[in-house]
Amino acid sequence: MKLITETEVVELIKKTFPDINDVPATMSFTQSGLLTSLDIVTLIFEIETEFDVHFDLEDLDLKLFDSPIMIADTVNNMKGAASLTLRTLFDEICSKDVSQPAVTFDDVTYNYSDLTERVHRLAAGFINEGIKKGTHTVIILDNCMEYILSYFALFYIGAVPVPINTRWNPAEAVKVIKDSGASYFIAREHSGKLRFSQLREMLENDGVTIDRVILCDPDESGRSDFDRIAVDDTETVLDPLSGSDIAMISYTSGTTGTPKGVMLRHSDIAKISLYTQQIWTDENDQPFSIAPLYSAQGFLSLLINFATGSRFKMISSFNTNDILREISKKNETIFHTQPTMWTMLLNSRAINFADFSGLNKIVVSGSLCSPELAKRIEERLGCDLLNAYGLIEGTSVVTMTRYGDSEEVRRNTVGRPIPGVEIKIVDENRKPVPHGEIGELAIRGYVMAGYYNNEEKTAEITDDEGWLYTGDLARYYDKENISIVGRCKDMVIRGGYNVYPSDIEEVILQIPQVQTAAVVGRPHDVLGEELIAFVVVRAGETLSTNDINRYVFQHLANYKLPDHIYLISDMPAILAGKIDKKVLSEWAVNGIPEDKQILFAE
Amino acid sequence: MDIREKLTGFLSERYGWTDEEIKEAESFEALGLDSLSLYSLVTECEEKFGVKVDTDDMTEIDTPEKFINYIAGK
Repeated sequence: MKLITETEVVELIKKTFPDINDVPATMSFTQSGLLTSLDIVTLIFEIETEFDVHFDLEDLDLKLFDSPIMIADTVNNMKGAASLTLRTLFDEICSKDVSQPAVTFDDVTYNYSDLTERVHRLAAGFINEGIKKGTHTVIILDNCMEYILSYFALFYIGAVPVPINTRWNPAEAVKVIKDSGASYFIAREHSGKLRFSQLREMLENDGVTIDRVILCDPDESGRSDFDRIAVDDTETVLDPLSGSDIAMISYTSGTTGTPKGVMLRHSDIAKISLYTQQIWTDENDQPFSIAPLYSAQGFLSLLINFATGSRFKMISSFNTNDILREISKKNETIFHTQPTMWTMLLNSRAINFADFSGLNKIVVSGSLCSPELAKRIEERLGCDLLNAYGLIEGTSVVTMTRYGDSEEVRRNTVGRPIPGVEIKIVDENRKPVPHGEIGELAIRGYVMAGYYNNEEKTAEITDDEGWLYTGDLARYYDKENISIVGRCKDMVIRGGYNVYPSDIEEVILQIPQVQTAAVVGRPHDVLGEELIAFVVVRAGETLSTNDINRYVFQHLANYKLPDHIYLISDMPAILAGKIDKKVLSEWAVNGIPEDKQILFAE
Repeated sequence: MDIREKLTGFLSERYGWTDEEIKEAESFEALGLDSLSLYSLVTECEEKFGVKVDTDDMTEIDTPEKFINYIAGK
């Protein structure tokens, strides 16, 4: 299904009302006064003709036509987008050019016909093994072709993948698996930091039922359990799927606090994939990604690039030299990665020998891309950058710049919403701030179905009108485009990974000699932010930073290990004894006042 | 104290590793660091020891011992 975009609606408005030259795509007609109610009704008739849809004029909600971007979403939903599922998306994309290459992982390529057959057979195999619509199925794999096939087959059945971050430590992974309630697993014995046999033992010791483990490790014959379960699918009966069904659960963190499993819907993922690919790529592009498939950037990249209907390439290596070597082959035209990876690529010596002439599009998302970094990327690669913003609770894509935007917009903003998304910027009472002022960004559209089994946490960041409060601070840079300027929620993005300071603080506080602890982010050229821990030791106790590091390493994923720990005499506090993290952030950058420093705690 | 001892002390203080662990570790990951931690380590090392690290060389530095040799060589 080809979705219409706001650009087509803007063109139609200009054609219908030739006196209007400037049509902001996201701005409400009510606010701008660009069109009257009568004009909108006139426009609706034109929309019916242009896009071949029919509206019931007796029961028309004009709010759905209040901006080009809302009109695009309304028309698409009329045409069936709201009921899209990842099964229908898969069938449609795979039915086009069946002999064309669909996906390449390292040296293995499947064309659309191969991919369809493998996914259908695997889906049939999963069903035989007891996986059905709604079955939570944990995936513990590093990036590999089996991961890609598993996602597609599980989506096809309507089962619910629960991808596990392979950088978590075993205790974190176990906590998330238990929270998900899953009893089916697709795994390899060694994946990142995790050993499946160890996880299995821990889960069984905790009384968790494991119904079936499908291992991807080959035996002496060279075939794996995963290979063997695929069966003929001609007799397969699939349960009906709807757009509002849950497609997957992605855990944002997990760990020492309450795990938060974000439930995403089929239609939201399918629509976002189609919209995004229409904005950032076309069928002539050859997309390339290295993002971990357990992460939002990874699985959304997979689906967005799949929706393009051209060959999508992934490689297993995260090594900068391998990535640059792959790009230099000039087989790929579009590369999507996060700012930290760009900084590492730009700082590597191998970049001097890399050939970027094959690339014509670059997408950056995952953490803040500074204007300086955006400039460096564009100047070195010689093509325009697309800067995107999203969060997993909003199905990962909220705003993005567009090709053709000015240099100023590309480098200083994360653009404007995609169709189907509304945004507002609000104060601490959730009331809109004046245009151009800083406030918390709230979004509506493609908002998660909620945190799994956690209504309390869901209610904290959503309201009854469907708004999700992102915890990110933003402001309008111009009429339509926004800039992200910071965060009001306590989170650090280190090297593209979201890290919640509370996870680390809770672990440090478990150390008996610790009185109090706080973790903040400090700007870092490559990582974006590094993790700085401040610790106050109990009076009369002895504790070194070494002791703290050792303890934290045993209890948390390595990317959450503080980059630096400072022992201090007491915490700066605001009213009611709450730790003043603003002061700590300032100390992290400019140094700790002498009267607060402690070199050795005794 | 020579530069190697200073660097060993620096790593020990920063991460809580013993001298033996620093000498014998097969990789930074085995001691609990992720690959990105090296970038943070290098930044501090540059400030503390007045050296300039070519980030491209970092792909080759995968153990504390190699790190010490590299910085000492600068």
